[in-house]
Order: sequence, then structure tokens, then C-alpha cells
Amino acid sequence: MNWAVFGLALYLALAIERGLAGLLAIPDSVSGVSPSFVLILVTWVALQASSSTSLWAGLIAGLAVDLVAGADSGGLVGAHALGYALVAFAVLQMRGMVYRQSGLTLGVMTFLGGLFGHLAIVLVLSLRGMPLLPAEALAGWDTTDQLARRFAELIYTGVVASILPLVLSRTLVWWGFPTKR
Amino acid sequence: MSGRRPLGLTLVALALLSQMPAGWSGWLMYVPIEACRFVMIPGESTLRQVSLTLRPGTQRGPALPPDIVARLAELNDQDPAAARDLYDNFLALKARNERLTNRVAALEEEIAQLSRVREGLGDRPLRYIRARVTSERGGPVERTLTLDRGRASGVAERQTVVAGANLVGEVIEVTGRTSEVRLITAPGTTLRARLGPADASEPRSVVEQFAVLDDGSGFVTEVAIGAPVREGDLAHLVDDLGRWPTAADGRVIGVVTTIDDRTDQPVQLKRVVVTPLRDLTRLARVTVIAEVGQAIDEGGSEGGDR
Repeated sequence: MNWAVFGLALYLALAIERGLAGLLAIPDSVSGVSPSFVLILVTWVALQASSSTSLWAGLIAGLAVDLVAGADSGGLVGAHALGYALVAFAVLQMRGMVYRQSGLTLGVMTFLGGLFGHLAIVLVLSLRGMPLLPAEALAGWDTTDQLARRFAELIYTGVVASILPLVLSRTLVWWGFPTKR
Repeated sequence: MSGRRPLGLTLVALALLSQMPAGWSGWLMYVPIEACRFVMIPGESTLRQVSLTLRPGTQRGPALPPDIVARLAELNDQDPAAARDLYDNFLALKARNERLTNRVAALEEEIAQLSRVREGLGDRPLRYIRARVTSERGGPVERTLTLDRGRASGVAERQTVVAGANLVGEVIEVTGRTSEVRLITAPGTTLRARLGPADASEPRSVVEQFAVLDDGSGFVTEVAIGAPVREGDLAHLVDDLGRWPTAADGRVIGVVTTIDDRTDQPVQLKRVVVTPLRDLTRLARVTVIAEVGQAIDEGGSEGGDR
């Protein structure tokens, strides 16, 4: 895979996800449910690239999400990196069963992979504040609310991801994905 | 980029990082976080401005007032970093406002509780009757103390008994010269209590229903994992339903000694144990809080030890 293209795509995905969150948020939704373009990117790469490349891409993308959000979250780093690596892993396990060129595939895989990823993220963040662990609990953290909001985001992201292959398929030549799988 | 070993090590490092106190990981990752923020500002703020223009007042996080939106858009053209600072400043003020609002709400609740106590007491002054504990009975059915003061001293049923700052129980039976006190840790007792810091330095409190531990050594409840409860917090009785004597409302029932995950849902709930400030089964002296009027009405005599 061409890592420069991945880096540029990651930058665009992060900028769109954060910059256009208000524009794309579902009106009157709790905490402004908006799609995650980074999750779509990780799923897209995991569907096309080799195993180790996919896992590293998921980890790097998650770390970027952690770092960019770090200034707002007071320096919490690691949860999204682990979660997005798990997204890549989950998609790698399932991609043999699907027709990767289909438009719907990206949407469905984003949703399914995202389920695992977000469960891992919520688990990691919920562990904070548990006895014997040094990390303090997150202020105002409510696991049920988080799961509900993230599930709504996943559905939204899955729908958006179903449309994006129309654009992404035209960029395949830039990515340098292996042609024989 | 390949190899499972580096990937595995990176995942372990990230797992450790994710469970560090925010201050530590923030310090460790300060440079990468600031670098990412710096790199992201141009793209993110440009798109945010587009978003603000097309759909004002619907940004993720707190909605911005129109004058701030206009000022941000104007600033963003000249100096994106200053725009970001202005936005951060707004968020900080918003958070401070929220903390103060919560504090005011907590204080209003406390005032309401104290007002209820005052209304219940009316204008009747309180008398404090010192009594010696002559015996203690503890068992699976009842936990009581016997005091050496009775009706002759002004003690009456449904009076509050305290030891120092700690609520001990209520008087349930009175004879001429002795009285029986049911401990707050008697089996089957349930009560509501507000948990909060001892010095009221932080605007946090939570009201929970407590049950008595099987061994009677304290109280237990389960709260949401994110509930703002810490070891050392004091538990004050909340008696909205008037189940306890009036003077008992708001009294300390104990201090939070243990917070752990011994629940059916350790990811969602934590178990909070409150232990009385003093061992209620080993008290030598206690104080009965008598309302002067109540003692006369119910006891029929105004004798006493004062």
C-alpha cells in the first residue's frame, strides 16, 4: 500500500470528520451523532490491503484519532488505536466471505467491524477508574449512553460508507493495493 | 511495515497508555498531541467554517452564540490559532458555568433539606441528653442499645441518638429510667444518603439507597461506575419520607471506606461501602436529641439531667 496516499486520506478523513461534524450531525440527536470517516477509511484499507498493512493502518488511524482528540480529552491516548486495530482485524476475518467490489460491502463491513471496535473502545475507557488500575474514571462517563450513541453513529457511518465506494473505487490505482489476493 | 512482534508490542504499549492517569499520558504525549493539533488546524478549521456557514449553531459540543460565531469566522480568516484560542476559552467558561450551576443545584438541595428539618422542628429548641450505654444486643434480628436514661430524663420514643457527629439510631422504647435504641445498622434497615466530600470543596454529590451489611458493620450500595464518589466521602442521611426522627435528617451515617467492583455488572456498577465513624456496638456514651416540647407531650414530665 502507498502509505503517502494513506496519510493524505487519513488527514482528509480526520478533517472532514471533525470539521463537518456539525454539518453532518443528525438534528436533535444526543451529543450530535455524525459519521466517522476514519472508521470507513480503516475498513476500506482492511478490505483491500494485506493483513499486516491493514492492522498497522488501523492502529495508526486510531492513534491519530486519539492524538487529535487528545487536546480536548485531557491526553487520553490508546483507546481508539486499540479499537481501530480491532476493526481492521475483524474485517480481515470476514473479508473472505464477501464480494469486496460491491458498494454495500463497505457499508456492512464498516458497521460490523465498527461494532467490535467501539465495544473495545468502550471497554477500554470503562476500565478506567476500576480498582487496582491507576487511571481515574472519566468524568460523566456512562457506559450505556456511550454504547447507544456509538451504535447510532455506526448505523449512520454504515449508510455513508455504502455510498463512498462510488468515489473510492476511482482512486484504487493510487493506493497500490496488492492485485492478487 | 510488517511483523507481528512490533505490532504486538505497540498494542501492549497502547493498552498500558490507555490505562494511565490522564495527566501522565497527557504529559507523555504532549508533543505528538500538540503536533497533531497544529497539523489539523488548517483543514479542520476551514471545514468547520464551512459547516458553521451552512448550518450555524449545530457544532459538536456546546452551541456557540451567533456573535461568537461571527467573531470566530472573522478571526479565522486572519489568525486560525487565535480563533481556536477563543473557542477554547469559550469552552472553558462554559465548563466552569456548568460546574457552578451544578454546585448551585447541590446547595439548593441542601438548603431544601435543612429547611425541611427546620420546619419539622418548628420553634421547639433541642435538648441534648447525655446517656451511658448499659448494654448492647446484636443479632440477626435486631441490634439495639440500652441507655441509662429514660422518661424521667426527658427521653421519648422516636428521638434521635448520636455519638459525636455520627447518627446512632432512634429511641424505640422508653421506661422510667432506661431506654432502648434501635441502631441504624439494625438488620433490614434501608436508608437514603447523600455522598459528598467531607469539606464541601468540590461540587459533587450523589444520593443513593443503602442497605445494611450482613455483619452490621456498615452500609452498602451500588452506583454507576462513573458516579462521583470517592473513598473518604461522608454519607448524610436523606429522609424525604419522614421515616426517621426529624433531628436525624442530614446527620452523618458514616464515611465511604471501600469502593470496588464486586457487583453483578462490574463494568457498569461499583460497590460502595459506608462505615460509621465509630463502632456503634462499642459505644460507652451517646447523646439523645430531644425536642423540648416533644418530651413534655410524650413523656409527661420535664425531669432531666440539665
